[in-house]
Amino acid sequence: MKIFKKISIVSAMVLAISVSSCKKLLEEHPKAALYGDYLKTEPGIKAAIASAYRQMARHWTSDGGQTQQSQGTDEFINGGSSTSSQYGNYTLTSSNGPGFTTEFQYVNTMNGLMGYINESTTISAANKQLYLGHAQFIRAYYYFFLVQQFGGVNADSPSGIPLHTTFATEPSTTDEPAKLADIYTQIIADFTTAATNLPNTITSTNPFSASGTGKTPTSATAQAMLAKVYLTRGYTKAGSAADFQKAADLTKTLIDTRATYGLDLWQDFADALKPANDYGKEVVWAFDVGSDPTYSEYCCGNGRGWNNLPVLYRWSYNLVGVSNVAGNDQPNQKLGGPAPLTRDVYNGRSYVRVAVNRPYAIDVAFANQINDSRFDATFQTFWIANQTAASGTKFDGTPKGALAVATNVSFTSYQIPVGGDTAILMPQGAVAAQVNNARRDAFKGVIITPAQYNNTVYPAIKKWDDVTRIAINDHSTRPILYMRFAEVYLMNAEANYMAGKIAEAVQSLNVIRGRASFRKPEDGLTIPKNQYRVTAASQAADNAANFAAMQLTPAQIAQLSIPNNTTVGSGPCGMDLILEEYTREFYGDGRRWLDLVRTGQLLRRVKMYNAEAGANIKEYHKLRPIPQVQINGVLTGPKYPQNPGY
Amino acid sequence: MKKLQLIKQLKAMLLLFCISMLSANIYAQTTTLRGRVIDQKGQPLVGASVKVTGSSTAGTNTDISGNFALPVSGNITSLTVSYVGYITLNFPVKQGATALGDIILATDATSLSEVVVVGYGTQRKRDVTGATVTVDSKTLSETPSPNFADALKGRVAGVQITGTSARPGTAPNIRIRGSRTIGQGANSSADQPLLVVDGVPFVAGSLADINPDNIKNIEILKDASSTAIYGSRGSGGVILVTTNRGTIGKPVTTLTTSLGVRTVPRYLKVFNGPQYAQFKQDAIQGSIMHGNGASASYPLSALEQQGIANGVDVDWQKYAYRTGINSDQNLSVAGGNEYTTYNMGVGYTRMTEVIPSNDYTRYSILTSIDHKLSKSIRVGLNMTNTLSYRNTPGGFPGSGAAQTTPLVTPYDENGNLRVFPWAGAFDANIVNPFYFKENPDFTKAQSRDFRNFTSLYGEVKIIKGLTYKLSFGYDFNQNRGANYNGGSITPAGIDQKLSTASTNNQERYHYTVDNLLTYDNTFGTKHHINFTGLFGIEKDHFESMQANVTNIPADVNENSNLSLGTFSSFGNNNYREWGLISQMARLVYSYDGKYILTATMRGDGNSTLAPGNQWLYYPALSAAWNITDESFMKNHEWINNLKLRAGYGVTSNGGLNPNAYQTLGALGINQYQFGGAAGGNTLAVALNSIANPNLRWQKTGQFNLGLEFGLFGNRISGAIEVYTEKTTDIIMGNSNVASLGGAGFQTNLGSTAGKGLEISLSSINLQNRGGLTWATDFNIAFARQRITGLPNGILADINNALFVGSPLNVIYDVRKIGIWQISDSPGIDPTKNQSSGPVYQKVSGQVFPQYPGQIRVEDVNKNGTIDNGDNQILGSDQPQYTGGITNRFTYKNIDLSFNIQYQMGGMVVVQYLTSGGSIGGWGFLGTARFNQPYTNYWTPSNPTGTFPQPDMNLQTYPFSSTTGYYNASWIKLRNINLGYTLPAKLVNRLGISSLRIFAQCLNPWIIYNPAGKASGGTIFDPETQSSGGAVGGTFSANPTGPGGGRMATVGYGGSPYTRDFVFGLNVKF
Repeated sequence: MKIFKKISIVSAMVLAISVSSCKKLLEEHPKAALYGDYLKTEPGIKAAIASAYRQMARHWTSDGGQTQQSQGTDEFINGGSSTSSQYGNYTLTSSNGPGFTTEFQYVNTMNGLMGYINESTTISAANKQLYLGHAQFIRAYYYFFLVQQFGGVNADSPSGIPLHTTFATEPSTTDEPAKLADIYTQIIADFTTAATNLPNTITSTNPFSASGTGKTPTSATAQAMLAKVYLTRGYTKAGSAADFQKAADLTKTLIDTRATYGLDLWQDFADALKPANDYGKEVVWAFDVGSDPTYSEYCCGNGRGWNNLPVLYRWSYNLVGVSNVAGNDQPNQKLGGPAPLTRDVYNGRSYVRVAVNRPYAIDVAFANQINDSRFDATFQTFWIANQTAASGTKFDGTPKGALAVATNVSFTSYQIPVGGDTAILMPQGAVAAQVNNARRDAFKGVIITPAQYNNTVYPAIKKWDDVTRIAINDHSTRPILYMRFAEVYLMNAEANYMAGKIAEAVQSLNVIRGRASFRKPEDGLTIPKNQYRVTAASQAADNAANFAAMQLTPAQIAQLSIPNNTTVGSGPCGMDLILEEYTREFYGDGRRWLDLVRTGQLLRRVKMYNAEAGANIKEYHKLRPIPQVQINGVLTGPKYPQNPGY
Repeated sequence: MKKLQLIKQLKAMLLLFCISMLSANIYAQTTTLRGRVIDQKGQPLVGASVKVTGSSTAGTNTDISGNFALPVSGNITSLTVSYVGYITLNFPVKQGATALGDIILATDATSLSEVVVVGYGTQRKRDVTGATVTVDSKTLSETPSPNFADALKGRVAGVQITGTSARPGTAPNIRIRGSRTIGQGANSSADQPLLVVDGVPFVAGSLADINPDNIKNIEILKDASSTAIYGSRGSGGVILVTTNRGTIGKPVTTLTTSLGVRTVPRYLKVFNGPQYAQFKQDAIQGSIMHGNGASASYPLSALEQQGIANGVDVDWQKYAYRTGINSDQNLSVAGGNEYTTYNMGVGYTRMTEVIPSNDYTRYSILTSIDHKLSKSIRVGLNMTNTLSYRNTPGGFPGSGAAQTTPLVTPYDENGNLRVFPWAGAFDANIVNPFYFKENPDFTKAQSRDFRNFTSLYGEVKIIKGLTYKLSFGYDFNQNRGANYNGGSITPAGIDQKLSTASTNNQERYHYTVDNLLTYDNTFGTKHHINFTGLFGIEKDHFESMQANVTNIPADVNENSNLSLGTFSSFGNNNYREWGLISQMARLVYSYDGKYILTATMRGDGNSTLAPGNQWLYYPALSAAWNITDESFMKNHEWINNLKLRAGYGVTSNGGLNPNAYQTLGALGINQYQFGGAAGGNTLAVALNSIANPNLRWQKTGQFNLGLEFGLFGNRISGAIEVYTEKTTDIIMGNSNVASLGGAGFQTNLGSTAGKGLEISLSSINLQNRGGLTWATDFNIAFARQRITGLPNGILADINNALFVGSPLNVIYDVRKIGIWQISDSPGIDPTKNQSSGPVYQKVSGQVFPQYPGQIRVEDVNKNGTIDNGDNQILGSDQPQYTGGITNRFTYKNIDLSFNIQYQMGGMVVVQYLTSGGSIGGWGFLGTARFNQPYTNYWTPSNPTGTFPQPDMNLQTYPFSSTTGYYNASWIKLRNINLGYTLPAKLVNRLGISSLRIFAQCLNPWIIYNPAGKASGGTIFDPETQSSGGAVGGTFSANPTGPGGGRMATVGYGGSPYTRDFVFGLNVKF
């Protein structure tokens, strides 16, 4: 019985232990993750702000985020491998349009963050101001993005998107849209305070930089964004002509005080696109990518990395063979088999998501390729053979002779080709017009004239090329230049034009056009041999002549004086000149749709230039459909309204 | 020779154990009757009593092999054979006969003493009121497999085991009475049964950690009235595993040893050399006909053309596999006296796989001790230690081999591996799939698993009938993964910089403390009460870490020193704990053994839910009526047992989904680098999920009605069960309003209903007729589940292919009704260049580019085009019925059994007969880029072809998903067992009490395979191997078919169909 007692005591103890540990057993103490409370701490606040910028970087480096703003415009048609053709041909529905959940997630996070920053007793006043500035900037950025995509239709009746400025912490099944006017008021308020809270320049102690390197928002960024918001609101039913004047004034001030913010234009347009200048004086705001696999998923040779820009707009140059077909001046030269080109680091990887819309981009916007350096700086139009291939044949069937391969082909580094024959040439303008069978026979490679461009064959955009890549399929490690200072000039021109101040508009346009006329001899390294270039000797005279030629002519000024006309089929107006300037300066920067929508020119210009998109586009396409997930999610109260037309 | 040495060593060991082995048979002077007493399954009955009928003295007991030798004198007409729990048999003895052969005793279902394991204790079998099934060790041993679940295939009505893999040690997927949870894959854990080993929940880890040789029996609790006692974890059914324990008596040493070979009896049917070359031609013709031009993107390479000239026609798969060797060794000693009983065993299993470099090795040690401290106190220990190594390095050559050109040999004329067999072709850089086979050091993927599973108990009899038991269960599991992949192989050489290595470590402990109070008493003579009360806690702890590096200097380093490489990332770093508190009470009341009522109530509090929703209670009520005990049944002697049962219970599938911390709303953790330089590295946290305090467990209420019967001296026995169930509050994803921050969160929405019928029959068809005995087990189950409610009141969730009123997993897609013929086209397209061959116009009235030779699908809504409205439910993974038949024969000392399993009805997705895209099909099916599974494809000269015309320039042909749907029916001969028990007289002289040699064959024959017929023989094995393929989706502009989903699928990549031959012996000393 002794044992019995012992056992009883032991078991009673175990029972007691298990009862007392009961409560603890049902408590959760997670250790491997972070939860809401972390956002109340200073590191949490910084991390949440960083997360918002990370999300913007992810958005603007991604396939969809980029191309959605390019497709279905006058500049681009759907590429042969488009994964989102609904944007390019306007077959958007509430299920295949852009989402807005992530954007509102960050709006909500910033709503919470502002409260936490203000409540904190441990953060220094200076840091509070900095964090608040960023939180306000981020919230304003997201509302501005959302309102441009999804509307409001009228100024004072609720439509489009909701407006929330308080923190939502629990799931909900109800919501309703806000008034457009209220949304713009909120955006303007946030950018205005952000402009006072954010620093003028990025200093080495700025926590949202790499010890001073980087281009996260500054006061100048907030002012430029504010100008853009006023400019945008000016066209809407919530705006007025005063908004244009406000935008003109804000941009004028920024231009005049640019030294305060360390901002300015480069003398050479090509320099503005050079990797070395990604965080240089012309960049107002950039999203960071970098080459560290932990931070940007970039890794040597595995075809990954956030920044998809260089691949999305690139055609599959490596699939083209070198044979001609007899009796056709514009022969189908696309033949399989061993091609003289394979992917290498210099020529890059191709996704063919978006294709150049020749009738506008080549024939109109970039027609002047002599006085204006921007075509040369933007496009790659020739490809040097980089692997041995069989000889092509002439029209009579005799061989053309094999193409010599460049002597420095590399699959592990970016090398401007040395030697070798041109396998593919895309001549422009007058040269293209002279191409005939004899010229084709005389040329060992393939000649592709603009008339032959289609959704899979078109000049590649080279301005985002990353010269530091070490493998063929790698994406880019360069930051996304969301705003360059050139845009401040163009906004100033647009605002003044809309405010009826043509002289001021001309002045700003001429700054940008004059800069575009400048060339250096080394700019000729990446253009075809026979293309126009300057030499050390001719540089000064050529640049002066081109500068003069680029100043707006009286005829152009006369056109600029014609007010914005958005009627489909109407003749040229001043806005056409301004939008063409935007094209040349920012071709393929993932923004064109926004420019066309803002200025009211989407329908007119798409109908004018883009047959593919023009077939389906309607007036209502200036707004994206409210996502079905939003409509489905609202289960209580009034049904969430869809935008008109969808 | 090794074998003999092993036996010698064993003998030495046995001496160490000081086991007496001499038989004590005494031979009488007259005659000796010899025979063997076995049960219906051929299992010998040890210690059965054999007496001369009518005699009170002359008798003997059977030995360890069931054999007896009864010396008799004079004329004997019959023997009386009896054994506890079996019906006493008067066995007729012919005059002069001495060898009586096998004497089979039938189970006495009405036996008062027979007990079965139920949740938290045992019960007299006649008192059980729920639907339970026992599977004994004999049945388990009929299937050679390192995990017991394989052995349950086709054995138990309503228990479906799917998922077979050639990868050793991988556990199949178990479903009892189908699925209940919406939106879960067939492999999901949500509807898996709870596994309880010796009373301790076995919550995670590999089933292979339980050595089937250590299992005494398995009890499967099917209906909710039996599983409600496990409350929040009972809705998927419960499997109770009882391991071997010692019994009072002489020590018995058992050695089971077997050696097997595993082969791939048949390869995937792919095009042979000439067919492949023709296929390339036809793909060019297809491209021309479809207006894609004559450009040959994938022409025959010089090597391939040379192959044609030399008559090369090689099926690479022949070189891909090897013969696997399975070795299984188990040795155990069991015995005990009235105070202490024990069982000790060691096991060693090694399986080398048909896939090169893949193998599995398991060492296990089992110890169990039960000791009586005093009259009223018992203590016991049960400990299993398992250490296993599984090697599954990548570069599995099977799928690569099947798609490699048959016109080039894997090895060149000098016998060297052709590293780049596609040299000169489009895919010139693809490495020979056998590179990894030839260079085993190039890849490594090893998983080492250590598990200690211990339970300890103390039991006190407080007063008569009242027992208190405290048990403590502890399960520790540590897993280490070691991985290495060599550098990138290019024609220029190996780029070692791209080599990767990783090491990961996971550990988990799980403990259970149960306080059990049992009261069992009979009042008067007719009122029997059994009460069980439980207070228990459980805690589960898991943590893991992983580090990944690149740029390992040389293959020899593998992952042994990660610091030699360049750090790339951490992976799978985690920490998780959950706790469970349970209270349970069960009362069984039996009146006169005839009327039994069971009531249970369980309450579970689980930490993974938010306070306020942590506790749920699970009631159950069931009753049984032993009709045979009624006086009015006395006249029906042919009915030996008739029992009617009915029960209702409520259960959940908690503890499985969600996991710990899921209601708290974790922040998304990322990294960001400001300024593109290390100085800007920062943490980035996103508020992308939201706290979710209102989540509860989903609940299943099930009603079961059962009838058990035993007829004609129990020669025919069985059970019929019908059930109906409703599952509500199913945990499904819902979304917060997007404009409020969105994010999915889990909610209790959705409901399903199910019903089913299960029939189990056992019969003794022949009993010792001329020495031959034949017994049959048969089972069949019908189960139907359907969705009865979806979130937010919708009737159809098309994106996820969920439809109210339909089964849980359906295929929602357009229906292929044929191939467009040339006559469907308006004719030659005059706008196209016809110089390479005719280019046809599109088929009239088709929006999508549909040309002759392409798949024709049904225009359901008759609007002249194919759109979303033409999607339809084509089928589901739910079979019409499933089951199995086992036949067992014994003839003298020979026993033979074979098991047939079947599944009829349902639809399966055969991924390798679909093309690329998001559904994991055969890459570039139809482009002739690679070799591909044999299909009867359409060409202008083969207009009756059922597959679309290949097209070299069409990567994914329209509606290609529709070519992957097949009838999921099959009948398989699962295994054959042949055994011979050596005559006792012979083996006794060797000091062995019994010796059985056996031969087994696993997967000998697929009897019925309609999918194989429909595919022209390409689908060899239609049994579902995995899930995660296509189900449904919305129609897209590029209509390759549906994506994502949960449908049962037949894969090919990792799992060839294999066949095993096993030989072994079972020795008892």
